[in-house]
Amino acid sequence: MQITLAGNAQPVAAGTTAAQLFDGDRSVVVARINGELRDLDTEIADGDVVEPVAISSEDGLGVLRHSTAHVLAQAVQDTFDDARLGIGPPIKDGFYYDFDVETPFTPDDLKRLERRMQQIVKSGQRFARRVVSDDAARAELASEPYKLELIGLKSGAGDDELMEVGGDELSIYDNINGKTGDVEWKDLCRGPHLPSTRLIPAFKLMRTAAAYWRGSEKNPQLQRIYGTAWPSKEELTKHLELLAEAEKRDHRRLGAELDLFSFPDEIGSGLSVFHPKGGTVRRVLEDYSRKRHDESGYEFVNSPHISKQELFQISGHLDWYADSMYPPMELDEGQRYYLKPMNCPYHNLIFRARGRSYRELPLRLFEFGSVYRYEKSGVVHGLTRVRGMTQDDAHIYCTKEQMPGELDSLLTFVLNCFATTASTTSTWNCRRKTPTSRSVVMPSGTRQLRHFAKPQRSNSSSSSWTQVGRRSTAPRSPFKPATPSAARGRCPRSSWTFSYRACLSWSFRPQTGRGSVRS
Amino acid sequence: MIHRALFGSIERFFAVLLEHYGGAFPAWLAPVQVVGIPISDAHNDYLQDVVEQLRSRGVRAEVDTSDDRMQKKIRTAQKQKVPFMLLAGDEDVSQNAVSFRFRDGSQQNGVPIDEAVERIVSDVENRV
Repeated sequence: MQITLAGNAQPVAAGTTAAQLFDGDRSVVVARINGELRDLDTEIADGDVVEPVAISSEDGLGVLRHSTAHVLAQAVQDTFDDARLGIGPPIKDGFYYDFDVETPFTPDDLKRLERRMQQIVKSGQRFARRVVSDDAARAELASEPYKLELIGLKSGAGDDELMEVGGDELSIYDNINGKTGDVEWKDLCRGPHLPSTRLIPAFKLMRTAAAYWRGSEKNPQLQRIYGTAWPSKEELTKHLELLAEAEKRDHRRLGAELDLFSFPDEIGSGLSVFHPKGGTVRRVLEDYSRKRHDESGYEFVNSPHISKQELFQISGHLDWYADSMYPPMELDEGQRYYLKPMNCPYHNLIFRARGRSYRELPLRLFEFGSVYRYEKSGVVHGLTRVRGMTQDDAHIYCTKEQMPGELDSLLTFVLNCFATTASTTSTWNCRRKTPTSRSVVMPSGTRQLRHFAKPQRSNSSSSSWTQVGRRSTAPRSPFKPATPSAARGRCPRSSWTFSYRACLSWSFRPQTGRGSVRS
Repeated sequence: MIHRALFGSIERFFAVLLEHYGGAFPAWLAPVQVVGIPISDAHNDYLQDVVEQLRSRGVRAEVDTSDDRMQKKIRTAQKQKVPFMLLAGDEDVSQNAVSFRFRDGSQQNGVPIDEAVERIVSDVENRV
């Protein structure tokens, strides 16, 4: 029969396996057959397009790490009789496996498990794939309640962390003792895997964490073990050194060592206090920022930290982002007040506090504004993802004609400021998600905005403001998500970016008399 | 209307700078810019005068007058990643000078006080 091997057509005997095609090349750990990753012992069919996948390639590393996860799971079930299996996918730089166990794993447990894993690796167990029916799988995995749940799911497509199912068929991988031929352990898995545990050159268990089954807090809590695996001992060592260096630079660690800031339990998650030394650095940064803003024609304003519900109804925040705001306080006979999540509505109010002349534009309002956002406890992280923060926030009101010039000078301003604060950081800007990427520049000038903000009567009789919400027939901005969930999906780090549009919609609302911009 | 936040949040920007510099802020940002380290207690007042001169020029400077030995004081300042250590002993006093010690461990001895002050002030002002 005829196949295509690494781009070249060639004849092969019927019954040839992928392993035989790459015979002798130990760096090849799986094959890509007709675009899909398959085990090396897969038999090749006529017309197949076959490519070798090296252990050091991205796919190869994923297979290595997933096979190491299987070895870990076997070691855990060897060591702890009552351990039940969750899921165990490869992840960036490593893998994890979740277990339902009576008590969380200790550091000593990890050492024991590593020793057991070494034994399994050395013993050279074969990974053997076996296709099973749903019923057969249920019978075999009767003692694994979590795996049973996955059998019912069948399609795990789109969920990268679900290695168990998702192929055309269900399969179980047996770990077969090289000497005796006995099945030492097995796991529901779509594969593929290394041919043998002996091909795991270097691994290490890193840490443990608690994790809910399938990521939902309504489900049982499992214990997760994280590990890493590499094609050589040198690469493992290099990876561990990199981690140690990053750990030394972790801002949370430096913050404590240098007495800069802390997160006292009594205040609450994601809410920091700055100590005198941290306060000094912060003040110098703020002074610098103030000076540069002053030089660049910004005007300084201030606004309060809380306001009535009505403001966030008009701005659209409550329609879209109520879940990410702190819950309201009820005061003054049922009046609801919210902590502010963004400064824009306040600046818009300052803008429209009196009639503005065309000649006042561009008007650049700046504030160090403290905002509060109810981030989920799982994502709160040091100073980089907090629940209370201070933004160096500005809003520039200008005409469409002024827009290009404003954007140009704004970008120059931004680049100059960064050049000062991180003078040697041209690579730094590329590597990190730069703060500039947080700012969203809206696409249109005043006149277009007036067109955008086709007025619609507000429900609130006490307000003469008009509101453009999601029910508006106004043309959609490319920045405006179709649904709140779409907003979250498109902007995983923070959905807040998109609420800029909400603030925007009423700032230039056409109004007879006061508050409008005449052009 | 153009929305923009340059640092994003001060807190996040602070964290990014902290990790970027590994805690060793450039002189203009460092919370303590200069620590005076006397070779013995006898040189406390001498260094205090130098530090006063620096403070009057807006430099964040202090003298370590604790009971620690000099070597310990140097280690403490190094751990705190202070950009400039100014050491003074009898020889420095006789020459109206100080000795610089930098974060990388290098040292420059016998720098006249005026010159030392000007150098520090200029580094801070130029955001070196």
